Amino acid sequence: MRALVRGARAIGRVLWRSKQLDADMQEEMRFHVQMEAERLARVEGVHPDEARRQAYVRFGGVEKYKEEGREARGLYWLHGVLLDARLGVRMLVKHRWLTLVGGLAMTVAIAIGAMAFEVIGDLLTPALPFPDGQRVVAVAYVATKGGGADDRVLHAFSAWRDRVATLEHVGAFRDAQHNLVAPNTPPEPIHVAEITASAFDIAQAPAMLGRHLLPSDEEVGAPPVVVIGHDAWRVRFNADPQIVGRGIQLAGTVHTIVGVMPAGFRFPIDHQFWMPLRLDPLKYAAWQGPELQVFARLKRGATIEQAQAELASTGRSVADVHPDGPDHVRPVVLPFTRRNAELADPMFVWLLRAAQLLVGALSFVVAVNLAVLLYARTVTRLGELAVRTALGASRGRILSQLFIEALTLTALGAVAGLVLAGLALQHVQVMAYGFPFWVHFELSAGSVLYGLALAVIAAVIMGVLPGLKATGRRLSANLQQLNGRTGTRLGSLWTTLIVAQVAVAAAVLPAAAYVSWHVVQTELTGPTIAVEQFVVANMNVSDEAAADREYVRSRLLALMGRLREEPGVTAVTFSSAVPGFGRDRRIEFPGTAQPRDGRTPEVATFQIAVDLLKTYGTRILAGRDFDARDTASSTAVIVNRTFASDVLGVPAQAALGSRFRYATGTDWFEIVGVVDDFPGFPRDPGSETEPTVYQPAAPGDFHPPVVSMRFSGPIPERIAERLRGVGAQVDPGLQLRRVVPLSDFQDELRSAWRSVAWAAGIITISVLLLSAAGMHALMSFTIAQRTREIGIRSALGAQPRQLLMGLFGRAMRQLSIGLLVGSLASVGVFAAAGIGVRPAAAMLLTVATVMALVASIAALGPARRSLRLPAVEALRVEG
Amino acid sequence: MDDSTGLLPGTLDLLILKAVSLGTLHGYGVLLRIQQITGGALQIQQGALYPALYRLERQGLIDSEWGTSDHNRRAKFYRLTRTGRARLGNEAASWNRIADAIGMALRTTAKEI
Repeated sequence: MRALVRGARAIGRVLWRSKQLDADMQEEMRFHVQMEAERLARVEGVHPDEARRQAYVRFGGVEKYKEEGREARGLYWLHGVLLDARLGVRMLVKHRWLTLVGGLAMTVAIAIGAMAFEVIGDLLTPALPFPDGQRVVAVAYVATKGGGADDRVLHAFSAWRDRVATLEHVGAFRDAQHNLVAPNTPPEPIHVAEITASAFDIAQAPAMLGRHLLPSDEEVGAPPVVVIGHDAWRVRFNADPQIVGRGIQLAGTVHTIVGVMPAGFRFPIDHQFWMPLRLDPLKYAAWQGPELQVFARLKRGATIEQAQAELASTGRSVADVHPDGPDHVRPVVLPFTRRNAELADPMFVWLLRAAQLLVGALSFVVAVNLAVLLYARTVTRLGELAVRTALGASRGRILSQLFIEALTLTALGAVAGLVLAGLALQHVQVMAYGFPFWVHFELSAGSVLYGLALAVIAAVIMGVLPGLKATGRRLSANLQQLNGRTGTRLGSLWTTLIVAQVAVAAAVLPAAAYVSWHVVQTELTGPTIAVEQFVVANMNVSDEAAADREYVRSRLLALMGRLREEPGVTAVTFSSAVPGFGRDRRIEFPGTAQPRDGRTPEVATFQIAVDLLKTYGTRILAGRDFDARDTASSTAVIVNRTFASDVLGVPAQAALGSRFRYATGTDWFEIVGVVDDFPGFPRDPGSETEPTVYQPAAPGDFHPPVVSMRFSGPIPERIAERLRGVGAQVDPGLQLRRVVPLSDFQDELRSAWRSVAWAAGIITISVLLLSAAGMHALMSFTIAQRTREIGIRSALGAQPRQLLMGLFGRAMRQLSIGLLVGSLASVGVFAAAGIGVRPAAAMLLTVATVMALVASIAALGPARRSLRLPAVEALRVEG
Repeated sequence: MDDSTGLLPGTLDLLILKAVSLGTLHGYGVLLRIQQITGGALQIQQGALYPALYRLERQGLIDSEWGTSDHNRRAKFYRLTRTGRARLGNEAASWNRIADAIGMALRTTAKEI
């Protein structure tokens, strides 16, 4: 321990007092020599000057002992490192453009790497944050030939609970949404975990107030009870300490609150309300009943493999044969966290693990780019390095200097990148509301370490590789290059790298620019209807009631009737989805009437009330609107303008009478009307709105309907609470989920696109700057290589223009190749994204022009330098 | 003729410890004290004293403090720490054992075998 303290003190001394210690040493040695000189003069009568000389001789080489002294003081290497770091910082300031370009690129790369590491790491967390959380597992049936899981496992669950020896506290839950009606609060649909009491044994979390659920609560006929979470208790019940024993209405029944769970308890996903799971297997046939998720804890000493093996032998016999065949499914045991991150497939987990590490490799690509630039810088410093070698510095010492210089840059990038990643993760965490409780998107110590490790590896690539290459030749022979100019060639490898970098930039930029353009469009163009007048809400009834068409119909009609009476409401209608967010389906045309590009088109589909288009004020461009004769069974459909222009490639009028059917169906539909695009939210880059099909429907035809209300004036305050109150009056079991103004949907889309645009913008700028810097390096090298030639040709009276063409012709040709290759790759990217040729071509041309411009600007500095160089001076340079 | 001999490797540290065990000294004082207690028999490269002092200080065997010398000059003074005293005791004992053993070996005659 004492040694540790001493070591820490020594490091502290070296770090903070390095200069002071050196000065002390100097003073101490000077004192010694003075004392010895005085002694010699006093005792031996030597002349003071001679005494001083002799004193120095007897002391020995002062510098040598200083070096030894520093070494003996310990951490001498740290002293060297500090010196190199200081030099590195000076180089950062001196080459500020390189610092800016490299720093930005490194920041972006490390930010992306650290974010990926954090997010994937969080998703792959094997353990729940409980005591023995790593033993909590999920048990499920997955299809043997892919196709996901079959969760209707009530029978199997009952069998597992009794018979599997390697598992304990086997339980199950299902997530349900019920209306919560508490005193003094408006009814609100909430997520409730209907769960077995064993969940609380697994979590080993005692209730903060009252008790948690008990097995006796699960019995059919037991009094209805509910346990609430700490947040719900605080927010909805004002942290009432007397809450236990009070009743709240859930799913139309009064439930007694029997306990409050402590803060942080949100098992199984992100829950705040727990009701006992009451299911009688005898009521259902095998592979019937509600979907359940089964969880359990591995018995101490048992492994997942053992549990898996036991299930494989007993699991199949206990569950009845699957209706799709006896071998259709197989039971699996996996960490609970994986089940809920949809990570049942171990192969997928391994792929994610690989991705977790490899995304960081992006910073290595950047590092290789920067290595090219640093190599250019290193080569111009060959003279300096040669002097240091001649003075006895080993190659290792020089490499370590170059490494630390590079590290100052990558460390700067790492710090900025980690800050950026932290901010971005905060943003993601806000958007990830409702994620599993064990996932926290915040920068962990592991991610910080990972980011720093990336910086170190990048510094090795950036500093050591060019250093090895630059110092690999006989460095001593380069002393002649002390004037800073060098005849060293850039080499085909580095030239290829620069050209490749230009190609990558040319390939990536058009897509990024396209996305950014789309965002600008989104910001500039508003929706085609007055979205601020509309409020939409999902109307849900319980799963059992949803099957009753007449029940849904009567409730929807009653609800719409009541809503029409609300002040300010001018119209109420319904559809199968929020306008602008339809369900995508593929369609096909009869006979020869195939779409222009020959692919089966994907269109957004809606079932709508016959008055919906009128309510939304949509303009009819051709044909007619729906009316009373249109029902769900009729074949009449209405499409939007984009459908006519993009899918059929005809004007609105010509689309009338066209027929199509869904790829999964048999019925043919006929277009009877074409309407304007609405609400005009740009969904994907490349299309302002999606091609859309509207089919007529009556109340009760589908569940859950989305109700749209149009207001004559501004939307009243606390609209969600008011509408839910109305819903509860119609039927306490009626849930109005997600009551929001339509303009909020537009804002969400805009906000999402804005985030994408920011990310694309930062990446674009760093890629552009990197390639500009690469081109600058290539040009600088061309000049450095041919300085002598410039002198001769200039002395012979060559015109500056000729000279420039001759100088940069080759470099420009190389860059053109890069641009061409990149543009071709970009065409592939656009084609894969399904973006039309015309916008892609425009974008490619713009990017190619910008790149050429950047190349010219990058070449301008070196070109002007070369032309300004007096011929005589140029001739002096060793060719 | 110079009677002084070079130091055996590793003995400088021991001599420094001994010198500072006799009283607080600055670097030059350590040199003089060693010369005094060895009767000037050992030749020490003066500059080598300092790396050795820093090494011992880093090992926690001696401690240093800036003060004023007899000549009223600023100087760094070294003193033995408790650990240093223990080390000196051990090293001295070990040295004596070796010296005795080697002395005994060298004094041995053919008859005594």
